[in-house]
Amino acid sequence: MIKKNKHITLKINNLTIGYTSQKGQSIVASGLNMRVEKGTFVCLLGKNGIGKSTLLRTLSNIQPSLDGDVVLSDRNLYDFSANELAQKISLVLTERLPESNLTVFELIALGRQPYTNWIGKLSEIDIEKINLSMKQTHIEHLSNSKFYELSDGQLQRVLISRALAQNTDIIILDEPTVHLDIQHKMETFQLLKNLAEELDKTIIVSTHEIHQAIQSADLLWLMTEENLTVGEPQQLIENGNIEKLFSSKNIIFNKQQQQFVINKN
Amino acid sequence: MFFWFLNISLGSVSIPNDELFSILFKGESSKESWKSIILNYRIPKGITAMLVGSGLSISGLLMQTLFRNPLAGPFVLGISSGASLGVAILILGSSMIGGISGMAFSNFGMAIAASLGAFLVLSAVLIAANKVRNTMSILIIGLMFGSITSAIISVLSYFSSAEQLQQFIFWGFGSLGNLSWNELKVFIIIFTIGMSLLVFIIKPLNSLLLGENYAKSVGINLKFTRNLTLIITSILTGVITAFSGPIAFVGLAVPHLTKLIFNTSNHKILIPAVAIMGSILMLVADTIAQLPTSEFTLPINAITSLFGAPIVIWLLVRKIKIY
Repeated sequence: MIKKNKHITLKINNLTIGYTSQKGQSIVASGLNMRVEKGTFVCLLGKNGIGKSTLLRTLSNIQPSLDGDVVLSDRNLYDFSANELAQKISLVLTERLPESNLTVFELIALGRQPYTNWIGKLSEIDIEKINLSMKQTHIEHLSNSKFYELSDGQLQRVLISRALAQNTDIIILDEPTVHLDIQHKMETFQLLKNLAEELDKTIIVSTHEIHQAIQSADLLWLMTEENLTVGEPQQLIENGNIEKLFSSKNIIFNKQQQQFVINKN
Repeated sequence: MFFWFLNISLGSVSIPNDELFSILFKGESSKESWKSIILNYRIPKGITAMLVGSGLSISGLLMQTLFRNPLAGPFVLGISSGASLGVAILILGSSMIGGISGMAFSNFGMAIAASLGAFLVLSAVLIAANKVRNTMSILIIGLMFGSITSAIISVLSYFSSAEQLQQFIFWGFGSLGNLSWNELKVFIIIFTIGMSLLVFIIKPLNSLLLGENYAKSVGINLKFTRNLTLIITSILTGVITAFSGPIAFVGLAVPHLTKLIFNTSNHKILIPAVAIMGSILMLVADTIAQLPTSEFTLPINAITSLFGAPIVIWLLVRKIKIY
C-alpha cells in the first residue's frame, strides 16, 4: 500500500511523561521518540500500568509533559490555544459520562463547540457535520435517543461520532473497546481503520486487544519498561519485539495465531 | 405574571381586586392605606420573591452541573451557611468590634458580609473538591463546612446580647417582605450583575455535561469557567441570603423539577426555564405562607422546606438515573 500523503501530523521528540506532585516528579516513561503520518491507524500496546493512558493524556494536553516536545503539524503543542488545539485533536475517553439528559444528537453537537459562537449556536455547517459524522458511524437512527438508554457498543459509536464531528486531524481513543463484546470489538476496530483510511485521519488507540491490533493497525507502538518501539505489525512480529510486551514466563506469543497464549512448557 | 398578581392580591389586609387594578394601572384608590400597602409592601415583596426564587434556583443548577452531582445546591454545600456566617459575624460580632456597628445594620453591609461568607465557604469546598475526586465526599465536606459555620455562629450567639440574637434569629427565618424600595434597588442591581455574567458560561456548562476532560478537549478554559461559576453563585446566594435570610431547598429542588418537566440538559433552555420555575414556585410558596390565617405570615423558610424536602426524598426514592 502506497501512502498518497507523507504529511507528518504528530511528532514526539525526547518526551518524558509522568506526574508532578509536592514530593517531586514521578516519571512514567522518558526518552520517547516517534512520528506519525496523516491517515495512519495506530494501536498503542502495553501492559497495565505501563503508562499508555499517561502518554495519551500528555499528547492531548490534558496533562503536561515533564520534558521534551510534542509537535503537531510543525507547531509545538504548547503554542496552541485551547480552542486551536480542540480543532486539531479530539478524544474518546474511558471515563463514564456524568448523568445528564443529553440526547445523542446534543452529545455529538458538543463536538462542534470549538467552531460555534459564544453561546454555542449551531450553524448549518455544524448540523451538516454532525449528521455526516452520525452517518459515518452508522448511528443516524439513534439521533433522538437519550445517551443513557444506549448499550455500551452504541455509546462507543456515539463517542467516536462526537470526536469525528470535532473535525480534527488526530483522534485519540483510550481503550475504546474495553467494555465491548467480541463482535463490537471487531466492528469498532474495523470502523476506526476505515475512518483513518477514508477520511485521512490519524487515529491513535490504546488497547489490550493485541490480536485485533495486529490485524487492523497500520502502525503499532509497543510500550515496555525500557522503551517505546514503533513499527508495522508484521515487522514487529518478525523481529520478536511483540514478545517483549509481557515479561512473564507464563505466556508466550504464538506467531501463527498472532496472539499471546499460555506457555504450556 | 398570573402568580404575581395572585401573590400581591393576597395578604393580611384584604383588598378588592378592582381596587388592586386601579392602584396598579391608574395609581389611585379609594383608600390611601390600600395604595400604600400595595405599592410599598406587596409589590416589593412580589419582586423579591421572584428574584430570590430564580436566583437560588439558578445557583442550584450551576452547582449541580459544576460538581456533576444531583444533590449539590447552595444549601447542601454550605454556601448558604457561609452567607449566614458573614451576617452572624456582622450582627452578633459587632458588639466586639464596636466601631463598624454604624454600617453593620444597613442591608448593604449585610449583603457584602453574606457574599464574602458565601464566597469563602464555596472556595473552600472547591479546593477540597479538587483534591478528592469522589463527588460523595465533596458533599460530605460541604456539610462539614456547614456544621463548622453553624458552630461558629453558636459560639458568637453565646457572647452576644439578647437583642442582637433576636435580630439574627428573625433574619434566619427568612423573609421576603422587609425590603424598602431603596434596598430593593440595590438588590436588583447586584442580582442583575450576577445574572448577566451567566451568558459567559452557558456554552462551557454544556460541555461540562461530558465531564472535565471532554470539556477541556473541546477547548473550554476550565479554570475560568469554574471560577466564574463560583463567583456568580456566591454573588446570587450572598445577596439573596443577606436580604431575605437563608432560604432552604429552592436551589436544590427547582432545577430537578425543571429538568423533569423540560426533559433536557441544555443550559440554553435550562437557565431561563429554571429562573421562571424558581420565581413561580417562590411566589406560590409566599402566597401559601400568608394564606392559612389572614392575621399574620408564616416564615417563608418553613414553607420551602415543607415543600422542598418531600420532593428531594421522592427523587431519591425513585432513584432516577437521568440526573
